[in-house]
Amino acid sequence: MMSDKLSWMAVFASLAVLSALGAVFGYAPVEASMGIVQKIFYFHVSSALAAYTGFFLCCGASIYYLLKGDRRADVVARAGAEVGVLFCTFVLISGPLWARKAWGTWWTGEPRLMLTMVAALIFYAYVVVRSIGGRTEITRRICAALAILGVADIPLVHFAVQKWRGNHPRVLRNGGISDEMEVALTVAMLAVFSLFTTLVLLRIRVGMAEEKVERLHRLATARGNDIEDRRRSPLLENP
Amino acid sequence: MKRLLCLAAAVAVLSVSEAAPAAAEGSGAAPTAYSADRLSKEGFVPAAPGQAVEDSVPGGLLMLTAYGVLWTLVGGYLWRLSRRTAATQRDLDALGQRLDDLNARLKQG
Repeated sequence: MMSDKLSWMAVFASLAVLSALGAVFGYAPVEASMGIVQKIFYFHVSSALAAYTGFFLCCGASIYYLLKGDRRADVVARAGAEVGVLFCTFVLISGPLWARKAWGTWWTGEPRLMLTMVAALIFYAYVVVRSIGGRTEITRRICAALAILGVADIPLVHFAVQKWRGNHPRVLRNGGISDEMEVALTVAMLAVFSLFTTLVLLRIRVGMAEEKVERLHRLATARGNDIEDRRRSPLLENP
Repeated sequence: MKRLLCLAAAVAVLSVSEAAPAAAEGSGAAPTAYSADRLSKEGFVPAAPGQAVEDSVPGGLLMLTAYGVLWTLVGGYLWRLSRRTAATQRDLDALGQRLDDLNARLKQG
């Protein structure tokens, strides 16, 4: 059942991505001063929002895990962090590529860039610790704390442009994009969020299967110990 | 768990609504009339049809690289997930067989 839903979600995501590419390259006009490189904007902004969503999902699930100890919440948290990191990585790579053309430099020390980098580094640490820390309770708890710390940075990233300015344009709230660009951005957001949802659900499914493997492994070890105990017990009774 | 997923969906919807351009602001204007009022000074200005856009830095290459990175990241992650799925399935099969053996030995006494 889950597999069917995932398949449909994947089909929907693929169609949405194709539509978004069509809207971005076939419908939205080329920007006058920056040229074609501005087309990075549509997936850059959408990916940033998808990354925030992944990090918030990770944080919410981590808090739930810390409160209730539910392993399923831990699986959801890990899925949110991994997919969030994926989209955040794209944001951190596509941003400098766009900036090279738009600002004449790959990177500046403006608040939004630095705070996004900080959030990304915190969640990179989360993913690395999860990978090398093994399936232990202490690793899960440390990573839950990291997720909460990382999410505290997100509102600062969001409001950095409004409070401290910097080079990032404020085109969305000021009506600074044309109607065709608005349409392309909306379709791109739909595509990126459907892709995000598919990847998160897929990762949750893999995580649940890994949890099942761990449970069965414990069960098999316990059964093996039972057999060993039965084999030894007659010897202990009649040495 | 469903609550968590609902919470994530709500965050996603809020993020989109937060960032989605306020279409109502420009709804009264003709779709292609990009007046000075409609587009702020720091907004994106569409090039007029046939207008040559100055391009000293290879913007096309930068854009292609960005999109290439996105699809490489997504493809790489999907490949990694498929490998993990296959490995997990192998582990599940092996563990199932081991448990069957152990259960049979337990029954034999």
